[in-house]
Amino acid sequence: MTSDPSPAHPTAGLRDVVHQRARLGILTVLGETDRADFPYLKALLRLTDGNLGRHIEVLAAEGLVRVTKGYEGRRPRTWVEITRPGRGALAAEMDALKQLVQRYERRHLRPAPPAENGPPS
Amino acid sequence: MDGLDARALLSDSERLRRRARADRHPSSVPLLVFAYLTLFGAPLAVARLWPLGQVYWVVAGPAGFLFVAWWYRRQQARSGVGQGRGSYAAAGVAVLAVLLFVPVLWHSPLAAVAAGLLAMAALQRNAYLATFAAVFGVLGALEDFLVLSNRLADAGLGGEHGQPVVYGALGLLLLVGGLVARHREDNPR
Repeated sequence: MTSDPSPAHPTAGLRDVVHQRARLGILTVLGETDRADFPYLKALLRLTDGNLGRHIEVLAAEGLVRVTKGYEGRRPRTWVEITRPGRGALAAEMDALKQLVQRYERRHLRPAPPAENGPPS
Repeated sequence: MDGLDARALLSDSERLRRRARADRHPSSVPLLVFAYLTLFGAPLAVARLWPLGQVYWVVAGPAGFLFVAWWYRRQQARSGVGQGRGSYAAAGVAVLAVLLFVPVLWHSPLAAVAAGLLAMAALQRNAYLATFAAVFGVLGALEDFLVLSNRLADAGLGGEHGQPVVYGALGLLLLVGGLVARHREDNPR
């Protein structure tokens, strides 16, 4: 019986639903603010209405965010709120990204090999 | 995805996080509110007006924190970023905490204000606000025991007005911090 001694590659921890740049941006902002309305996310992430709507639909379908509609005074507002699984998915994604960076730095930023003794000929 | 892509994504995420944090809880608001309150109250900090300065801080301290809480809430509703439901309970706890500060405000007003600002900075994970609150708190606590104004008097400066001068300087410290924060908030990187 053999066992694989090497740890899983950090990309194994990346989840397509979360990993997409705009969706990761949405979760990052909501992770900081708990909730935000549609125009705020649109302006901050520089997305169109359609794009933002589609990304939020994907996240909501996975239960990572919750969408609520209501009024602030007489003004209709659409709020997007991060859920507990959403926070967990964001934390896992961040961990995987940090591991990827650490792995890259270990491989590419190794100290230079020591110089050989004696003057060059 | 390689390490460089991951680093770029992490960097983008950190930028977004900082921006959202600043939009939700601008550092400039508490710094400017307490800068103006400290500057306005400075002339009352003379011995012959006692206890007017203490009374001022017992009223102005809680009022300042309540104003900041109200302003944040209003700003969050306007900008579309913030906590929303459940925050009335948090506001109640904040009011209670502020009222519990009243006895401390009487004896050591600047240190009490700094403690409130530090608590706010900790909740917001705001290092900038924490730095100004800590410096204001250390110098304010020293002045609450007249350490700084006595030094001024020893040097032949200030006299009866030593304490108002120190309060004024501490108010200016917060004012500079608030104006720099406002500039950074208006011109995000």
